[in-house]
Amino acid sequence: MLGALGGCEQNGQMASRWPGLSSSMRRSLQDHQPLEESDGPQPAASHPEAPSGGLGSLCRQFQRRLPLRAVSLNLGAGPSWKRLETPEPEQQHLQAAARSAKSALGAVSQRIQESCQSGTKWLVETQVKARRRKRETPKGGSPPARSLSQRSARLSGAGPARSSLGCRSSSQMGPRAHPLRRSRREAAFRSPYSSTEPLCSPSESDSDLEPVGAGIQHLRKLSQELDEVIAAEESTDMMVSLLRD
Amino acid sequence: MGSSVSKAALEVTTDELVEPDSKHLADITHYVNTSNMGVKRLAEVLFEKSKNSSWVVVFKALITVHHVMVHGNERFIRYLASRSSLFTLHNFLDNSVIEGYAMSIFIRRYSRYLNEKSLAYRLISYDVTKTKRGLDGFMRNMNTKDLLNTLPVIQTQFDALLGFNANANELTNCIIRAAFMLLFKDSLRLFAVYNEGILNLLDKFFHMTKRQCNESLDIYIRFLAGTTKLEQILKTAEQVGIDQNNIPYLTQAPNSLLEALRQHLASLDEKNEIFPPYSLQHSLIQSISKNSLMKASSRQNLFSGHKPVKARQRHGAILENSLDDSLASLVESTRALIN
Repeated sequence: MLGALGGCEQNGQMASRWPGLSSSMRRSLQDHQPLEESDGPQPAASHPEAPSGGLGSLCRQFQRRLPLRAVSLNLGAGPSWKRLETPEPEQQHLQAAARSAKSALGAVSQRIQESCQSGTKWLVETQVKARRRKRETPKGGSPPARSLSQRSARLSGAGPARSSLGCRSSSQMGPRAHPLRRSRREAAFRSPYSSTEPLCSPSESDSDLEPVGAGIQHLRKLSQELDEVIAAEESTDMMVSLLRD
Repeated sequence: MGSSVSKAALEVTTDELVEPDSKHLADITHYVNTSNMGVKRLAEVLFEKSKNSSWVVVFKALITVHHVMVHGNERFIRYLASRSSLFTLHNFLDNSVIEGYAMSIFIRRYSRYLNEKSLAYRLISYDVTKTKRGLDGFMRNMNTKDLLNTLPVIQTQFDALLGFNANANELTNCIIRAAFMLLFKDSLRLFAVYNEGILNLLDKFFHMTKRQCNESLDIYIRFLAGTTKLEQILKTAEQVGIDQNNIPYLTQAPNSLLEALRQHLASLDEKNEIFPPYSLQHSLIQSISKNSLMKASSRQNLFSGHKPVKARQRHGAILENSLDDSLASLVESTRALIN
């Protein structure tokens, strides 16, 4: 069809054929639009039709098909972006240690407040326990002293382990020890609240219980002896008064 | 009945150098136990006799009073405790006879003990030497507050008894020996009650507050000193011929107990320094909530990311100043409460 159109013969003859051809050419142009778009812009010579509508549409096509410019992303390295990144291992450890220390101190202070507020309740409970213990003991015996000494033996057994743990933490753990574990342990040993006992409780260390138990046992024996002597004396006085009467 | 009591009282306080007759003493005890009238009349006679110049009469009057206190009804000691004045023999001296001077010393000491015994009854409303002893005894089941009030009273009475301080070679006549026998019996009963109070105190020691621990430690130290002096009385009793079965075998408590009590008190002192008592905590917490720091942080959004650097620095300075002020106020309030 194009070849047919390319031949310029007589204008008159062509003109008579052109209106029909032009319409058909338009139709074919419309039909071939997608092909032309994919194949790229065709040279203007291939479109001998000079009317503005066809060229205009071609121009519009070319404009539409212009490549996109690169868009500059306005993304700065702000703090919010940094948080999404994984922190360095050292910072991770420090953060974890700080979090654990904070939670420990908070829990401990809460516990201390509760213990001081419930100090009376604790004292009552211990007195009840002490009385229960006394009631359970048979007459003339001294199980409380024995239980006290047993408790002291248990505590003395537990005491060195605790101190050795402390020694291990400071001397046996070398410089390559896990920093998180070391910081936690040091914080625990430095803290005055490292003991699980409430502050209002008696500070019965293992070194205090044995002499206290022995001393109480001694005084109990003395009390028994005095009672026996007084009873004997009263019976003697009674006999003397009866004899006199 | 009043005349019988008076007659018996007069007969028991003669100037004869013999010990008060046991029969007369029994009659007097009987009168006191059966009648209130006998108590007042008897007391009047005996107080009158105590103003005599002869050491023999005075010593016998004191022995009669002591005898009725121990063996008679509690109404006698109750009457003595209610009197405004008791024996005023702190300046007594009978130098008319050789032994008068020495005996006058013991009369002064003896009258002091009887006054303390009456005063103790007035303070605690009962005669501790007649209270029930044992696991369910009076002193073993006393609460901490009453214990800390009662034990010092017992200690004072016991110290006055120990103040008689007579050696075996000073018990040269039957009158002073009669006084010593009554004192010896009293010492056993008084020490038995004292010991039970100390046992109760030690049971409670590690549950006490710091102030109570301080008082208890002082009481225990005085108890140890009293135990040592009682050993002397028991030795004297043995030397004058009292039956061994009637003399308890006394030994001192181990010194380690005293050290343990001291260490516990020291640990309480340390804990008090590290962590103040609850009342102090409460006031500190209140002072923190009231200071300007909280107001500053609530008003200004210090953690906003949109503030420019200069504004952030300005807020930081405000925060710093608030911290200084709050710290200063905390220190001051702590000092005030400790003082």
